[in-house]
Amino acid sequence: MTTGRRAALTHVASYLPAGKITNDSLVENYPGWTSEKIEAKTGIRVRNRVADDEFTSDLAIQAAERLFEQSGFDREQVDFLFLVTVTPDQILPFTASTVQNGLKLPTSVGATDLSLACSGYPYALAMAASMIESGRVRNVLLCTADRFTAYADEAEMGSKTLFGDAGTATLVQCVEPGASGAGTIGLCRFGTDGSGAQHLIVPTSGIKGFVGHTTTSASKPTFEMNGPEVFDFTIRTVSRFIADFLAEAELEVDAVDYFVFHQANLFMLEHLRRRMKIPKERFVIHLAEVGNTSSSTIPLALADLSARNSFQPGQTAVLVGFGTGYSWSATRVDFT
Amino acid sequence: MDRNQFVAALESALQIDKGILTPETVLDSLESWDSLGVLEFQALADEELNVQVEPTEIGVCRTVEDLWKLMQAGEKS
Repeated sequence: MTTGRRAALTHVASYLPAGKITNDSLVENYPGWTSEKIEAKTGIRVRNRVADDEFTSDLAIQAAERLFEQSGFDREQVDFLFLVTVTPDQILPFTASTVQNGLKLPTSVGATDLSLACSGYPYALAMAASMIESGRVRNVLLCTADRFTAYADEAEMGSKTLFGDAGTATLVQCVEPGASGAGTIGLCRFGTDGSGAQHLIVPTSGIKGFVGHTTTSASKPTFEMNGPEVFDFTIRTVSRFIADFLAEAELEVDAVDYFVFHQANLFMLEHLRRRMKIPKERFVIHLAEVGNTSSSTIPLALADLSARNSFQPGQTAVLVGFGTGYSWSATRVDFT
Repeated sequence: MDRNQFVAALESALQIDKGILTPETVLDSLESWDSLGVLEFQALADEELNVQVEPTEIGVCRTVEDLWKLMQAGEKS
């Protein structure tokens, strides 16, 4: 069913918790590391950290409250809420219901979690756009939020250097053709390869974490990353996916104003950029003050660009997510 | 890229002083041959020879010479 309706992202807002994890604080207990080495390899100086009593739902709620305040959008008009997260407050009930209640969204709203991390934002944009274009809803609130330090605190040092906590909120709306100030959602493509599941995993984060354990013996969920395997996935699969996406979209590299990739780490991003022959000025790096925030990296970068009035009518962005699953996704956004 | 050029490039990637590495150098004797060092090698193989090397095969390499042979046998994309 197509209605000729177009879906566009119209506002993006973000929330960064107040706590900070500096490189200096990370290296205190790891004599083999230096702050300079961390920044050179990861591109990260500081990450944000939640307070002990601050959870994923709080990150999403704070970001959405900012979105309503900045945009003036009436929350009563939200038809559907997506929350992209891999750090739900609890498995049951789903965290989007907590966010609906915290935001006092109407109970007529549809709400669901999307259990995706670094690939989640383009996925959710595509789903929101599909619902809008089919005529089923008009306004979708798309939140991303991950309290990833909950998994990274106990991880090995290489992982600890990457992750921070953050939440974002994006308004995806049904717009008239050519409506100003909007980013029309175009081509969306996806990929999944579960054979890579063990290379980016929190093995005890679900049912497997406690079935067969007593409560006291259950281990704290800890993030495990096989760096070489993930890098190999990025080189082989993600770069080919991006090339195919651009070809299908009939976009030359020079026709894209902003390549906004998942902000994994500087080493990986720079390798991808050089491999894809993308000029630096078209390639967004937004890592230094926030780190890798899982589901929130792409909208955080968009919020930062938007706050600086970077998007001009006629410009095009390509958003690319990739990570745990393995899972990958891309979305074209055209600004009007 | 010949073998000598590879050894020099690996020295640079692993931030080792020039002239230290030889084909016989045992990787585990190098402080910078850690998880980041492996990524540097993967990036080097990809950029210089357009070769992707299997991470599991890197894990069984013992010397610099083994890395060179692995790169030579790698799959070009």
